Amino acid sequence: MIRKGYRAPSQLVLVLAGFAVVLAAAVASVWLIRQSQDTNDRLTQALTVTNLIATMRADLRRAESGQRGFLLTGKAAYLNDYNTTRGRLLPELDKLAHLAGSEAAAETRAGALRSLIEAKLAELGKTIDLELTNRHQEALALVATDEGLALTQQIVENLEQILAEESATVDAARRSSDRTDVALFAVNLAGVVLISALAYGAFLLFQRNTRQIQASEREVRALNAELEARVAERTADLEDANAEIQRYAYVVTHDLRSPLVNIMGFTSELEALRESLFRQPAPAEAQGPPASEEDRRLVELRGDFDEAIHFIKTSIAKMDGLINAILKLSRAGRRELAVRRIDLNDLVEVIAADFRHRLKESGAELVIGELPTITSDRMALEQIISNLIDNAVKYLRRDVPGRISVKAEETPTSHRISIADNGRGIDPKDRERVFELFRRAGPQDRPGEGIGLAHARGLARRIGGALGVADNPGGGTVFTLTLSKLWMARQSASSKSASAAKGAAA
Amino acid sequence: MNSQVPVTIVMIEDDEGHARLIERNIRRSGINNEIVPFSSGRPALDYFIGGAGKCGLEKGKGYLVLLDLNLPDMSGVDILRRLKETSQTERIPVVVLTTTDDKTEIQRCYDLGCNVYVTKPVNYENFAEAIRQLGLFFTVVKVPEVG
Repeated sequence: MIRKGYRAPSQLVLVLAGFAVVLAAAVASVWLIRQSQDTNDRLTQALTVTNLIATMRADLRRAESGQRGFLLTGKAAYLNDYNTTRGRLLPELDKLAHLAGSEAAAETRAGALRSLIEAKLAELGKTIDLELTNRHQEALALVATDEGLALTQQIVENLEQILAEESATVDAARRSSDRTDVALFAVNLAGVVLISALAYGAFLLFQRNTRQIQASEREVRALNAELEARVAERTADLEDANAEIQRYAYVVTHDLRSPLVNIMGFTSELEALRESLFRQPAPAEAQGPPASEEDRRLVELRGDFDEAIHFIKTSIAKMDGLINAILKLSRAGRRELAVRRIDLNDLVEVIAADFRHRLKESGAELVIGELPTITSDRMALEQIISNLIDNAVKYLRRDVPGRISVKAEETPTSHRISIADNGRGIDPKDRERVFELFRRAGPQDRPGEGIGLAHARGLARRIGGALGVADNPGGGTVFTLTLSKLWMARQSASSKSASAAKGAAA
Repeated sequence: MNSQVPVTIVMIEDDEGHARLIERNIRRSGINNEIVPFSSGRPALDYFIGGAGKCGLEKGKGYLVLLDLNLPDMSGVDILRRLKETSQTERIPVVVLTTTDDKTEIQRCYDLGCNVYVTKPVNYENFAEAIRQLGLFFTVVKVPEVG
């Protein structure tokens, strides 16, 4: 099929595309999540900076108010408050500078802020020192210069500028975070859509493949059914042909018999007329030469007559034998089989007993191996096996001690029963010929009509078997009867159903 | 055979040789009755149950049929059936003398009312012997008159 070659890669492409989409979506998601994390970090940093700036502003105001309280009242509580808060400002600035990063603008701004804060702290420290050394007026004069106020204002402006910048950064980060979220959603949605599309494509492809497989299966089933039907048809044809041959043989032999009866009958009638036709010669004939010319002619004629009658009668007897043989075969073919379980050991034992005398006479031995129990027709098996053993005994060699063996072998589909001998053997060119009717192989020095093996093969076929011949490796011949297990199973199934039907009818 | 009623033997046999051999061997057993031979079925049936002018049966006489089953124009079984179906011939004894020794065929003939079924032996000596014994049987058998 050409479509198959095109289908396989498209399936592979679908799978690869699916993997690619999943991978791309995963990479994009990871990247976007990292982005979003960066934004979050920046947001956190901005919040910290905002908080820090608020703290710094508050601390600056507290330090200032502590200074002023001390200057006004001279109480140590104000001085304490001033001292704790002023110490916090520079570390807070360090933290802020660290958070702002190492960019040039940020460093410049941090440096400016630092000098402003240091100047402010110096101004504050100076007024406190003057107050502690009881130079109250000088301290107030220093405050009155408004230098401290200007410094504070500058610091606050600087801090507010940083705050504004941070808030701009936060806004940008928020926008970027929103964009990242949208992109993440879009990427995942696109992934889901693509995967769904691929899955749907795969589903369609799978469905198509399934339909194709189902169609092929249907096709195979149809072909099988057709094949079985054809086999059944052929079998029926063969059975018909076989039955026809059987009928034909039967009719022919019957029709041949009728004229044969006439030939025999009238030959016998003629023979009965012999005495009337040829006058009995004178009793003197036995002692001396015939008395007359007529007598001598009569004796001659009678001799010719007797010879003719003899040939006619022997020919008739032979023909009668042949016709009877064919009739016997056709009858065997028409006989109803009685299929049942048969222990071949028993069956062969019984046959062997019939041959015991002949075996003893020829000094031969018959070895019987372990044989199976099978389903078959007893009479057919008996005839086949006894025919084969009979042949084996008949054609043993005179110069070596005869040895005949019966063995069985089981295959998954059949039982093989082989009868081997060390006799004279059969010429390879005669192997098939020996199974033909009225044909025999080798020197025709033993009695026989050439029917046995034809009959045996016919019987073997009837019981679902085959009969073949091969060389015995040690010299001689092996005949193998192969009996089909399928035939046995069918027979026992049909006999079971038949007996079940009979039981139902009873 | 019954001396008061003259019995005619009707022989339906397609093979003339067989017919001749049967006749000779019957005669040899001392049967001198008239033998009417037919070599096919149709004329034989006409003889028994044919229409006016064709029927050869005579009142007051006895008949006995020797029937071969293998006939050229019709089966001997059909002749047997017709004879046993017809009132005027149903009592006539029928001896089936044929080569067939098929079991079902034998059963069928007896079912149809055949009185004796004899298989022709193939061997001539046996054949002649069987016919002679049949002839002897004919000498003692009683045959009803045709009414």
